[in-house]
Order: sequence, then C-alpha cells, then structure tokens
Amino acid sequence: MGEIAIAALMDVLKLQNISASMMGALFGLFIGSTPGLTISLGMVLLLPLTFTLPPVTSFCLLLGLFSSGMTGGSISAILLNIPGTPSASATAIDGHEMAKKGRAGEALGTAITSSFFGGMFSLACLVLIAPTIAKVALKFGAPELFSLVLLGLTLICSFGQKSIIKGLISGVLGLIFMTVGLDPMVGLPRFTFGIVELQSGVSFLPVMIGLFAIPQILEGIVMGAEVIPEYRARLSGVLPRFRNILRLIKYKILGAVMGTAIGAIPGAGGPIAVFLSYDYAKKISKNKEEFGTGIPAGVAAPEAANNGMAGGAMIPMLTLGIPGDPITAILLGALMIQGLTPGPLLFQYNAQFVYSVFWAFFMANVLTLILAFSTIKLWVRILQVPKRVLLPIIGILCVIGSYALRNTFFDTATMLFFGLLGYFMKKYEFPVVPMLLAIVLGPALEQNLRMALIISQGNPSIFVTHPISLAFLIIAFFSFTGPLVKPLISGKLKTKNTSKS
Amino acid sequence: MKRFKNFIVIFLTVVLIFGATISGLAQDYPTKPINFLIPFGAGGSADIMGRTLANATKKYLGQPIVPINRPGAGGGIMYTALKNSKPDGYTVGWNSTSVLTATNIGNVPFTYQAFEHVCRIGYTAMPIAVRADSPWKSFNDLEDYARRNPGKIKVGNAGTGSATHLTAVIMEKKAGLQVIHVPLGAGRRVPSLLGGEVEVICVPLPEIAPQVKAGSARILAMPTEKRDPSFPDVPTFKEQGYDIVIELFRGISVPKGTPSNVLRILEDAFRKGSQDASFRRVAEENGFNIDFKGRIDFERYLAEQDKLIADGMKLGGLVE
Repeated sequence: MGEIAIAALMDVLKLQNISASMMGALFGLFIGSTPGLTISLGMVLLLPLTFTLPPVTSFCLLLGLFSSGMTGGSISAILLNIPGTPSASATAIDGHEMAKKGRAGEALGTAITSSFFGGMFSLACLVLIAPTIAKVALKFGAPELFSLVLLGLTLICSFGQKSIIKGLISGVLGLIFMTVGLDPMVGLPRFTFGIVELQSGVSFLPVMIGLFAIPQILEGIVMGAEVIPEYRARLSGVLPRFRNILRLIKYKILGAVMGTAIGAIPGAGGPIAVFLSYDYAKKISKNKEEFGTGIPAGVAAPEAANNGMAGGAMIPMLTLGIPGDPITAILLGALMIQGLTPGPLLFQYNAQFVYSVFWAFFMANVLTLILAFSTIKLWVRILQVPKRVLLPIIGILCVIGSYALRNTFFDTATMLFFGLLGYFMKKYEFPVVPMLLAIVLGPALEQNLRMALIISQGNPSIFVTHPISLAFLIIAFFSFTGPLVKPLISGKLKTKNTSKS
Repeated sequence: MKRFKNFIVIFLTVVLIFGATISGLAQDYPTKPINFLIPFGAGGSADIMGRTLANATKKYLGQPIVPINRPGAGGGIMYTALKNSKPDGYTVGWNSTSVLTATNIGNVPFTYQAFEHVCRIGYTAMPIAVRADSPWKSFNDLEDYARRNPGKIKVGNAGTGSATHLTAVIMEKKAGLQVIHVPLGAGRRVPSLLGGEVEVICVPLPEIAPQVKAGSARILAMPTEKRDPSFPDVPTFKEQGYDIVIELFRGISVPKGTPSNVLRILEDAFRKGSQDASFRRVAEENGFNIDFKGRIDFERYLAEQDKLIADGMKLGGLVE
C-alpha cells in the first residue's frame, strides 16, 4: 500500500500533471470569482480537453478547478458583496463588512487559509474513513433529509436576531416565492400564470445576486455616488498572524467537519453546510453579537465548510460511484470517459489511480493556496477603484452573471426584482438572509417531506421512528426555541444572581 | 469635414448591412455559427452527449456549433425557446424523450408536432433494477411478490411525468400490479435504492451499470426492443412476455417551417457526426447506443413513442 501511494505521488509530480493542476486552479479562481459562472460550467468547458489526456492529468486539471473555484467564490463575496458561487453566500455576511472597514486583505487571507484547512481536512477524511462515512451517508433517506433541512431553516430565527418578527416575515416571504414552479411531486405548474419560464421556479443564483449586490448599487444612485464612503483598502495585514490562525482554529474545524459530513450526503446541497457552520460558529463564540459586523470567525467557518464539501462530495463518488453534488457528477462522467468504473471496484482494480486522485486533490489545495495568496494584493486593488466607477461595473456583472447561468434574460429580470425587493428590505431593516435561506432550502424541505410521506404511506411517525431524523428534529427544536427562550433564562439567572448578592 | 465623416460612417453601415444580407441569400446554408440548445443543465448525460455530438458534427457542417444549456420545466423551457426561434436552421434543439413527456403532461401549450424532427441519434435503456441482496432474481419473481402484496413495493423514479416514471407505470399496469411510485429525483435514485429506501428503481442504464458491475445491484429487465450490448445476459420485457418498449432517445429537432434543403443538410451532417470516432467513444462510455434514424423513420418512431407516453400518462392518472 505504501509503495502504491509513493508510485502515485511520483506520477502526480510529473511536470504535465503539475501544470495541468496549475491551469485548473487559475481557471477556477476566474470561474469562482465571477458571479454566474459556476464550477459545474467550468468543468463542462474543460471536459472535452480531458478526452485526450491521461486519467491522472485530467483529474489534476479538474480537481484544480474544483478546489480553487470553491476558494474563488469568496473573493467577489468579500470584495463586492456578490457571492461568486452559492456556497460563498454565508462568507459575504461578515467578509464584506470586513472589506468595508478596510480589512479586505485580512478577510481574503482568512478565507483562503480556511479554505485550505477545509480542503485538507476533507482530504484526510477521504483517505482515512471514506467507506465508513459513505455507509452513514447512505442512511440519509427522505425523512433524514427533511429533518436536516428543517434544522437549516430554524437558522431564520438566529439570522433575524435584531427583530425575530422581521426575520420570520422575510423567511416566510421566501417560502412563498419558493412555491412558484412545477410541483415537485405531481409535476403540475403552481402560480406560473402561464409563463413557461416560471415553471422552473425562482432560481437561487439570480435571487442571491439580486439580494446581495443590487441594494448597494441602488443606494449609490439614491445617495449620489460622491457621498458614499469609499472603501478603505489596506494592503497590509494580509497574511494572518500565527496567533490569529490559532484563535480561529475552532471555527475552521467546525466548518471543515460540517462541510465534509454534509458534502458526503447525496442531495443535501451546499448552502445548508455553509449556513449551518456559520450559525454554529456564532453559537460557540464568546462574542456572538459581533457576528455580522465583520469578524474573521464569520469568514473562517463557512469558508472551511465550502472547501470541506469538495472532499466530502468525493467520498460517495469514489467509494460508491454516487455523486454527492452536481460537480462530482461531472467528475464521475470524466472517470467513465477515461474508461474507469467508479465504485468499490475502483479501489480494487485501480488502487494506484485512486491514490493519484488523493495526491491530485492535495496538490490542488496547495496550488490554490499559493495562487490565491500571491494574488490577494491584486484583488484588493479592486476596492481602490472609486465607487462611481465600481458600482456600474458591479451592475454589469450582475446582469451578465444572472444571464449567463441559463442563458435567459428571465433570470436577469428575477435578479432585478429581488434586487429592488432587497433594497426596500434593507431600507426598512428586514434581514435578507432568512429569505435567501427559505428560497434555497424550501424546495428540499417540501420535496423530502412529501416523499417521506409517500414512502410511509401517509404515516407521519416516520420522522421520529428514524433515529437520525429524530436527532435532527430535537436539535432543530432547541435551535428554534433557543433564541426565543434564552433572553428569558439569562434574564432570570441575572435576577437570581443579583438577589443572591 | 464632419459631414464627410458622417457620410463615410453611414455609407459603411449601409454596405455592411447589404453585404451581410446578400451573402446570406447568395451563399448556401450554413454561413454562420449554429446554436445548439440543450434541454438540461451542465454536466448531465444530455449535456455531455450533446456537447460531444456538437463538437463531432461541426466539421461536417463547416461552421461552429455552439452548445447552450436551456434547462428547466423538464425540458419545457428549451422546447419553448426552440419553437419561438427563427426557422432558418441556425437554432437546433438536442431533443430527448422529454419532447414527448413535457408536451403530453400539458405544461407547454403545444405538442411534439410543433417541430420538424431531423433525426434520432440513438438511445439509452432505462432498466428496472433491484439491490443485489434482493430476493427477486427475475422480473417474474418481482411480479409474483407484487401480486401477492399489492401496494407494498416502492419503485423510485426521476420525477412524476418523467420517462422513468412512465416506464414504471406502464410496467405496473401491463403486468396488472399495484406499486407505490416514489419521485426521488435524478440525483437520489441510486442512493435510495442502495440505502434501502425503495426496493426497485427505474433508471437510465449508465447510472446503475457501475453498481451492477460492483455487485451491489441487479437489473431485472430492459424495456428496449433488443438486448443491450453492454448487458447481453439481461432479458428484455418483450422476452418475458410484456410488450414494454420505452427508450430514452436523443435526436435533433428544429422549428417548424425550416426549409427542406436545410433539413437535408442537417440530417446528413448529424448522421456523419454520430459516426465520428470521438462521439462513438463517449457514447460507449455513457451507455448510449448509437442507432441513427433519418427524418422519415424518426417521425414514425416519434408517433409510436408519443402514443406510448400518452397512454402511460392516462394509465398513471397524470392527464384526463
């Protein structure tokens, strides 16, 4: 086994493989940081290239893209408040606030090192305990997924902390929007008013771009761009100090564990992992109030999670031949084009190739770290562009990004609609994150709820007789009631303490 | 001076516009890149096969073929866009069985006859599969059990109204059984089968083939005309006494009203493209059987499949 691993390493260290990984990583940074260009699309564009490349070289190329695309998503999230990929949406919350305060370099540095940590952690899981994780991941059927998604939805409460009522209104509005489209169980149109485009529902990316990016442009128009405070971009303090790395380690571990675990469950989806890890980072932090105001911990946890998902999603792909998400589905296609059959037999017949994939993923993470770090100063310069120039550019990016996703201006209209909505929500202090959460999780919630009930033939006890589902429901219950009850309890404790003294 | 400049600008514009029109009229089709609409998202089987075919065919047309994903509404978005595009041969659609399912379920206000169908490129089998540790070794075993236990067996599919769902419905009705159809969605079919959530799935062959080879799943029957070349030991439904032939076909369609010389050129180019070595290799790896049908044969085939799908929808209670 040791010999095979070393032979695989030697193979990966060939010049052509290193340069393939480098090219993939460069392309990935571009794809990831450009809103609307998704990692899946980047992979599909590279796929024809791999037809003529040897298997290991093609995997170096594709994994380079995968890893750096995940990292690249944070760049536009932090600098421009436009998440480049859906998994970067939680990063924008604190990352962009940091950029506003002139700490863009530090935010990027944190994002990049956390991504690296998450990627490496998930790789370790992939190498050491992949079969075990895959076995557990298979236990996630409809009831388990329903309860997990429900847990994700309870975050609405904690993201609406300034006013729980406003948070709930925002979330419920999101759930209402999400009912538009084809009914997931019977396939008939709901609230589409005869418009075919509405049949695919309100798609997440245009909503995300609209809610995050458009309000700042509208504010610029309303206030007059000259009056808007410019970003203060500092180029120093980019490399996180060693002390800071250690201080953030618990958030990184939390994010990496959640990302890897949720990434390994087929059909759970990326955004739930990043939002859950953001929320749990807040729960384990001593300075909960500071989350959302621009602190590194709020960047570290979700960024570790989204790169953790990369390795996590590869677990069921390599061990069972089942893709964990759309991106690994393409990787699976790439494997098959190379004449390799994924699944348990891959380990038996092509052990060296499997080790090569591990090393290629390792190299992809390292190269992403190096590439992203060496270009931070370039990225941060974007903020030195005056706002009256920058804002129109962001506007153009929003239009192109929302169009490019499915090549339709309908999505651009959706983006503008939610942009306008987001502007008014911001003006009247309604939080936008609950709406985003509801739109991204709503479909999975409905689908798994109804699917579980089909499977149990209408018996709702299926949600509590399945132990994993029950566990999530209990956590969800406390997660939901926590923010409501906590002020009461801590209030009581305080009065107790004061009465004692 | 300024007036002269303006004159030059206007003159050049006029020349350009006329030049373009004249060259468009005088020269043969095609003179510019062709848009190739794909009804599903990036990375799926439709996408990979479509992009490879476009790439293999461009040299026979002498113009680039540009793949554009128009996913959504079970293909309905793409078919609507295709129907509304100019019938000049510069927009072609990469169709599939979805052109029949999306139109029959009534989510778009037209039928498959709203298009000119250029050719079928080939098809993928959608077999019925069970876990390897399942007691059912053949379709007859499954049938016996289902007959004795009506409403017990859960059969997973890609979504209500999808080709896999209809295949399962037709199987259920033709064999006179009663099963529970679970619309698992494309991504969760195989995990749900392996995890034990459903006992049976109807699934495109390439998705289940690796599991069969790894010894974790078994195929009971193929709803195809003849046995699949990659699984010559697995019998078809027909051999087991049931006339169930539904294939996940893929081909080329263009808007109604496309000139017949353009149709001929496209048919010829795509036939050559489908025989191109680069396409054949990817097809084989993806469990896609190349079986070209020209315009006339494809129309006849579509009429048969459309009737099957329509009947399946009625049997399944999806349409009145």
